[in-house]
Amino acid sequence: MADLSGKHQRDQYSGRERRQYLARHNPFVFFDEVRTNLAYCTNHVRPYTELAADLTNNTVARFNFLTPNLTNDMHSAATGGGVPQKSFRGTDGWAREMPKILASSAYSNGGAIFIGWDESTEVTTAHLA
Amino acid sequence: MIVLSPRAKGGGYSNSIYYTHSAALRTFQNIFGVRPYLGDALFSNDLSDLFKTLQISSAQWTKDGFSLTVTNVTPGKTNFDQFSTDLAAANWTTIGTNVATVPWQTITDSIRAIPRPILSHHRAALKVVWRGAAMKVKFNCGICVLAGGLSARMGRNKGRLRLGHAPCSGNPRRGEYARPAGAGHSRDLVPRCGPIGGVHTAQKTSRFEAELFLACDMPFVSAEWLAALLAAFHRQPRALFTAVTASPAFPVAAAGGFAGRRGADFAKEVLAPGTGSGAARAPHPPAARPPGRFFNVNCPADWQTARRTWDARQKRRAARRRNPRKSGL
Repeated sequence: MADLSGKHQRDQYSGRERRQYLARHNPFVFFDEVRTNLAYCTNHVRPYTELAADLTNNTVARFNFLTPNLTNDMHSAATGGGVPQKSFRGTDGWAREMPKILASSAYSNGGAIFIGWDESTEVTTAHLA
Repeated sequence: MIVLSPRAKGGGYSNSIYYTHSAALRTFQNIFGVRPYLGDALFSNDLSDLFKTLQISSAQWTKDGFSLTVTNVTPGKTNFDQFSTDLAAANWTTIGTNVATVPWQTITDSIRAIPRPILSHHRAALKVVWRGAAMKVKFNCGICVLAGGLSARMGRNKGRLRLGHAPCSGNPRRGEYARPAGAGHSRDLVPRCGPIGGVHTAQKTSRFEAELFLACDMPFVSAEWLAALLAAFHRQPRALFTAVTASPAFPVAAAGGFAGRRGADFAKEVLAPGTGSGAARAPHPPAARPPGRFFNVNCPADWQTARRTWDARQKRRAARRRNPRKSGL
C-alpha cells in the first residue's frame, strides 16, 4: 500500500443508503495504512458520486477501485438487505455508468478498466462483489 | 474478467488461460511498478495476453540514423530511443525522443549521438522505451569483434594491431575468438574452429536479437555497409555474409541468442557435416557486393598497406577540416 499512495480507491457504487455499504466490498480498509490513519482513509476512500467530476476535470487518480453496494452486487435478493432483483440492477448500473468512464480522457489516454467477478466457476453465475 | 482499454486486443478477444484475482493483482503491480509481488501474485500469471503487444515491425540502419517501425504505440505519448553498451539498467543514454501521432509509427533518430568508436568497435545495443505506458520494448543488436586468431601469416597477434581506435578491449590472446569489446572476451566453446567457432560462441552467449560480427583485421569496413547489412538482416532474419569474392567474408549479420524465434544455430547453418573446421560454406546466397573497401590484413605487407591507407585518409580528413570549401564539402 505504501507504494500506491496518491492513488484513490473509490467505493459505494450507489451511496444513497448507508446500510448498503459493506466493508467486505472494500479490501483497502483492511490494510493497516488505511485502517489506522483516519486522514489517509478519508482522503482515499471516497463516495462514488465524486468520480464523475474527476472524470470531467481529468483529475482521476491513477488507480481507482470501484465496488458496488448491496443492491448492485448482483447477489440474490434473499440475503443481505438489498432491494429485490438487484442482479439486474447490477448489470444495468454498469451499463449506465460505464459510458461516463469510456468517454473520459483518462480512459482514452492509455487507461484500462478491469471488471472482475468472484464466487463463480462460470461467468453466468458471477457476482460483482 | 473483462478488460476494456484502448490498449486491449478488443474485438471480442478471449482466451482460455486460467486466471485468479492474483493475476489481476500481478497486473496492477506491473502497471504501477510495485514490488515485491504480494501473496499469490508472486506465483501467478498476469493479464498481458488481453492487451496488444508493442512490436517492432521493422528496424534498420539508414544513412542518417536508426529507423524503427513500431505498431501498437499510443498516439500522443513520448517515446525514447536509448543506447547502451552493456544493457545495465542504469546505463542507457537517450539519443532521441519521438511523439507518436498514429498507432503505426516510423521513428528515425540520428546515430551521431552514439560515440563512433563504440558504434564501430564495441558491443552495443539500442532500445526504444515508451514512457507513460507500462510496457517496454527493446531492439537489441550486439556487435562482436572476432580477434585472437593464430595470426600465422602475420607473425604477430592481429587482435592487438591498432589503427586509430583499438579494435577490442583488453589484450586478446592467440587461440581465442569472439571477444566483444566492452564485455570482456570469452574462450571459444568449441576450440580450433576458426572464426566460425567464435561466431558460435558469441551466439550461444548472446543476449541480443541480432549479432553483427566484425573481423579485427578489416579496418576499413564502412558504417554504411554495416547499416545495409543490418537492414537486410531485419528484412529477412537469416545469416548474411559480405561477398567480396565468391567466398563469404566478414562482416556477418546473424541471429543473436536473445529471441528464441531467431535463435537459429549459426554454426549448424554454416558447417556442413564432416567439415568440422573453419572451412565454411555460405548457407544462403551471399549479400550483394558491398561498396567501399574490404581490405583484409593477413601479412606484414598488408599491414603496411593498411597503415599507408589510414595515414592518407587522416591527412585528407585533416585537410578537409582546415579548408572545407576547397575539398568540395
